[in-house]
Amino acid sequence: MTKAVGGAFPAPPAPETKAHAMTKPVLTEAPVIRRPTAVRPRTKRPAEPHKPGERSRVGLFFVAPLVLILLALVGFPTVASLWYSFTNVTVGSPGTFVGLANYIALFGDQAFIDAVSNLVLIIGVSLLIKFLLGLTVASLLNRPMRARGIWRAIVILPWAMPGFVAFMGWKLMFESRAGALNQVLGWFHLHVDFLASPELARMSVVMATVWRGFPFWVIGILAAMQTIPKELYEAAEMDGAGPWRRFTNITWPGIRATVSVVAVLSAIWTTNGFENVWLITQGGPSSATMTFPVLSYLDLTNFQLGSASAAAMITLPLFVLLILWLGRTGGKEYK
Amino acid sequence: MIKRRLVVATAAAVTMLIPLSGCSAGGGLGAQSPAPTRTSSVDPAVEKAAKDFKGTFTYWTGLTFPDEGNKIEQQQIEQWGKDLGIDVEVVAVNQNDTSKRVAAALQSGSMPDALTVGYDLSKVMAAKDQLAPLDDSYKAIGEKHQGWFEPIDKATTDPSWGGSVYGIPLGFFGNILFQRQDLLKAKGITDAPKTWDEFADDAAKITNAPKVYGAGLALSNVLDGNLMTAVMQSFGGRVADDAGQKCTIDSPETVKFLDWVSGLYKKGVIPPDSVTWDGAGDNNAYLSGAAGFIVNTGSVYLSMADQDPELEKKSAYGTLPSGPAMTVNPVDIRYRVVPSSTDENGKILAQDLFKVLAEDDYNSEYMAKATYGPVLKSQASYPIFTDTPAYAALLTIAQSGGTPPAFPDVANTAYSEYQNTFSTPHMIQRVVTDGLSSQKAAAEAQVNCQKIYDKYTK
Repeated sequence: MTKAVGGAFPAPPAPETKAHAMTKPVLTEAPVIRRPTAVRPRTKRPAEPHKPGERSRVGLFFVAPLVLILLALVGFPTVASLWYSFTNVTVGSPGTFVGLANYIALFGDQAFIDAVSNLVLIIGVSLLIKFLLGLTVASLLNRPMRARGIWRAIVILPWAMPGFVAFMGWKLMFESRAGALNQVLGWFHLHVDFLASPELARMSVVMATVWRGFPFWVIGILAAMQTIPKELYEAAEMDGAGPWRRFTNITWPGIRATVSVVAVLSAIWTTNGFENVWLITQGGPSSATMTFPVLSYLDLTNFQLGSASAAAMITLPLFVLLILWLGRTGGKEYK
Repeated sequence: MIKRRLVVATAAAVTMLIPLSGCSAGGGLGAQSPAPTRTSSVDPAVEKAAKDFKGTFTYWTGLTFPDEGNKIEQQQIEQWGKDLGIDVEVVAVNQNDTSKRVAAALQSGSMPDALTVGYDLSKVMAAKDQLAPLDDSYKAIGEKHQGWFEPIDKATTDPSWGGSVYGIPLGFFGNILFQRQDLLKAKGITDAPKTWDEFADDAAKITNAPKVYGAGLALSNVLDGNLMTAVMQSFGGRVADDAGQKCTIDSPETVKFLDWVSGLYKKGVIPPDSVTWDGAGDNNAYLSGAAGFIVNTGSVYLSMADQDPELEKKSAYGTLPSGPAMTVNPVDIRYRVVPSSTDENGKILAQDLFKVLAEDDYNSEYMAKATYGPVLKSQASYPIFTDTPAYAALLTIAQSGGTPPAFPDVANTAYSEYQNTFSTPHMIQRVVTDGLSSQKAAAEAQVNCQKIYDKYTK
């Protein structure tokens, strides 16, 4: 490296050196470099700037229709649902403001307590397994292999499949007598009632949820892995770094920001998932696999929009916190 | 390399087959004959309404099984529109989704001109003034077709509706007791069970778990699971008092019922996974030969007749057994209704359509391809009800064995919500899954039930 000390004009560039040149670069006396002040190079005059606020007004004009559509499609239902949750509105009648009554009734319900515990037991465990599975499969698919395109397509299939088809398929596979899993277990003279006990029912829902959702993790992590320069791995290998060190020092820092985004999106989708529970267990046995969307649905079938909205909105603060966390940590990562 | 390719191909095939592995094939459909044009003369008021009617007349039908029945109904409605010179749109709605579709349509003001709904939903809608009264049409159709069967008439004209008739019955889902005669005969049982205790004994004798469970009763949070409310009532348990306001579920009779059903479950006579069965759980159990008894509508019979005639020959069909207190065999009536939002011309047209859809020429063909029990006495002579054992059981229910919905309880909106939240199967699950005692489960159900009833009485 040459050391700049100052001078009137830029000095001619130092002899170019290559990063991996075997010969040691020749050190020469440093030229004096000074900030040019007397003579300014002629540059093309920039276009006349817009008057303050004019550009933003034009921009606003163009994005306004989209913003209005978004407000109508996203903002209105959200605000309406929030408002409903504080009323006793039913379908066809406006109802009245009841304050926190719907939430208080919800907190006193055993099904609510089960739904809260299932946030950890079903949603949390599903996310953890999806992450581990997604990371493993993405790592495998990131390696050179034959028919890599076909393998990637196969992995994406569960995610691309309609949820109804996927979860009905799992429901039938879990079936006690004619289900595919018990047919296989039958070869070993085993029989498992997958949906009869609370523990097995939860495990079954987790299994189906993971199967359907992990390809999204694979796609996200794989995309992030492919942005990591191969040279970094080559250099690390030359330095003698093993697989674990390469993962912790190169791969993980390279995919961490993407994993955060995928994790938050997946957490929101899984928490709001309805088909995975309703089609397999209807929230049972008892309320062992109860979740907030199922609670909300049960109220909705009785036209109780107020209590249905309360059950649906209860997880909103959690999502807001997750998104805020993502905004802070994700922003730092990208910087 | 070939081996490696083989592995890839096999894995691809397995992955693609996973979600398909449990799917069962649907029944084939036969050729359709064209819908008959109307035989009755058109009332001048109907002609005028047709002339003045603006837009498209929309009817939401309720999907039934098999699909052939849906097509016959659609063709008939379209033919009716053609005869009157009006545009008609028929929208087929899965009956499990009707309440959601109606809720959304009511909120957005996009209700159809007429639709098919279940008993509970029509009760809720009538209570909220969302349905138009149909007294004259109900009377006229009954008179033209030898009258309505008694359980249907009682349920439709019950004072709890508020003094008017709000729906024209088109059929009912009845509870047929399907019995594996071959298994029962092998154990020396020749007669159908007359009481629930006899049923329990017979079911226990033919149980050979996990291959065969005697009692294929759904105990899950689905409509089939609500049959347990009827069984509880036949044991003397009641959801609420005679005024339909105070829950009375916490009673010795309910406890006795809970002991009975949980005893069967714990002995392995009822399949362990029946606590999470979906609406097809008992159908699948019976059709796969894994259940000795089930309680179902005619859909299982149609599946057997189409796909497994051998099993059909091995089966017998009857009505529900009696409990220690009484016989309860509720008829779940389907109604054709007119929303109060439909304009006057639409209301006249809808009622004319209902008359056409009650004609015997059409109905004898339609009911042979649907899963409904008869509602009008003229339907008793249809070949499907005289010549087919399972449908004959539906006729028996209509003629003598059927009880109005909710009987002996009061069929009000609170009762509908009690049923819609699957409260009885949930109470059973608290015993068989969570290990609560029958007494504690009944006491807990009492509290939850009263919360529901308080919403409608306070």
